[in-house]
Amino acid sequence: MLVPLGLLILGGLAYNKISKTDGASVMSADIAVLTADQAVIYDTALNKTEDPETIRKMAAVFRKKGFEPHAIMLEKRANLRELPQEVKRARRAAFRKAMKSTNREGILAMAAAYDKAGAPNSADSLRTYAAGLP
Amino acid sequence: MISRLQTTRAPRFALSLVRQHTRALALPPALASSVDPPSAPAPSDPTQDVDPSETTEDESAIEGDAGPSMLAGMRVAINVHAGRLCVLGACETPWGTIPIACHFGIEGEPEEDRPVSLADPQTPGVLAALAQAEERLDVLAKRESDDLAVENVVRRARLGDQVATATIAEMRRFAPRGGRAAFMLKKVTAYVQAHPYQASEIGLEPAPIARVSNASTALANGPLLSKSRLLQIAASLGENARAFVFGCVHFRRPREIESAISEHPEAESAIRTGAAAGLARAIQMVRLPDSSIAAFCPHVAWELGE
Repeated sequence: MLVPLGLLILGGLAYNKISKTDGASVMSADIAVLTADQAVIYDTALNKTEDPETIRKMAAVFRKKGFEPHAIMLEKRANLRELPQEVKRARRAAFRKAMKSTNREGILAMAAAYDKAGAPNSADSLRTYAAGLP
Repeated sequence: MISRLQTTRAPRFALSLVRQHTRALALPPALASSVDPPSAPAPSDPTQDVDPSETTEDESAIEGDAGPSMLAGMRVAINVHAGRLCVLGACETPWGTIPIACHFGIEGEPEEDRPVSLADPQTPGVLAALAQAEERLDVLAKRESDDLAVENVVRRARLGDQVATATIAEMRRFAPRGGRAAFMLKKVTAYVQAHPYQASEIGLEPAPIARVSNASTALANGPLLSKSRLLQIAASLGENARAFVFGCVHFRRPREIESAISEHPEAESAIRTGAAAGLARAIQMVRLPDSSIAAFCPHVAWELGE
């Protein structure tokens, strides 16, 4: 009970923080480069935050600040929980299959696919596993 | 050692065999003399080379000519094939066996393809080709033996063998006089240039730190890591058993792992090994069809809709 509440509070704090950050003052309008603070917030939102509504709010803020690719990734992550059950089941099966495989290249390709789908933790787990393969 | 560079082993049984064959074949004088026992002194103790009192003897050995025939210790297989005499030899040297091959055309009447036995009478064409082959084999064997000797002495000198170092120093000393010392020094120089020394760092380099991920993957692809098996491993670690179990349980919490290591640096390897084993067990568990991905990683489970 405390952990989701904590994450919610952290998400809220991050939302406030990024809302107050003046994107124009810390970055060029043309080049979307996150500041150190923004990078931490983005990483937290992408890797740890599990409340879809919080993630969507943060995605909106990132979009407002001009970080379109980051906003898209966050939206993908927010949508993960709302995917059809078949897709979720297929992804779980694919993950299990990859963790059983010894095809390093194949596993890395699947990790890249999970990354694109907004599932960086799954991608990292696969990469960690693939790193130990000969 | 210096004399060993140009002298080969000549087993008595091989010498007598060759002598017997040459008598049976009534080879020309040049051939017969080339199979005489080596006139050079027997290989001396390598440690004698660094003894200054033997410099005179070594000097003569270095400056000697090509040395005795190498054919004495050579095993050969001879065949007539497509009108040519084909000889394949294996020359035993102090530095290993050298395979040598050559072939010569047989003059005169065409010969059938057949193996040639030195004990049998041969046609003049085959005998002439045999004489050519003998000379050629001797030259090739000496060349290959010299190359092998050079490789051997350079390699040993690089490993810190003082006898080998002294041998090269002696070569350098007598090289200005020409002869064999100059010849061998030239070979040594060529070999050193073709095979530059690559300093070995064996024993000096820092030991690579085993990556937990690599170890866990290897463990995961090994035998099943049940709880009882992990406890069995822990028990075998004696006083580090608790550290191992701690690593097994907290493998997903790097901060706690690092904190424990900083508090108990002496147990680092046990904690990290435990973490690798814990991750390996989690990987094995997540492979099961109906297993909980959350047990492997709650974040992954969330992402995959579990």
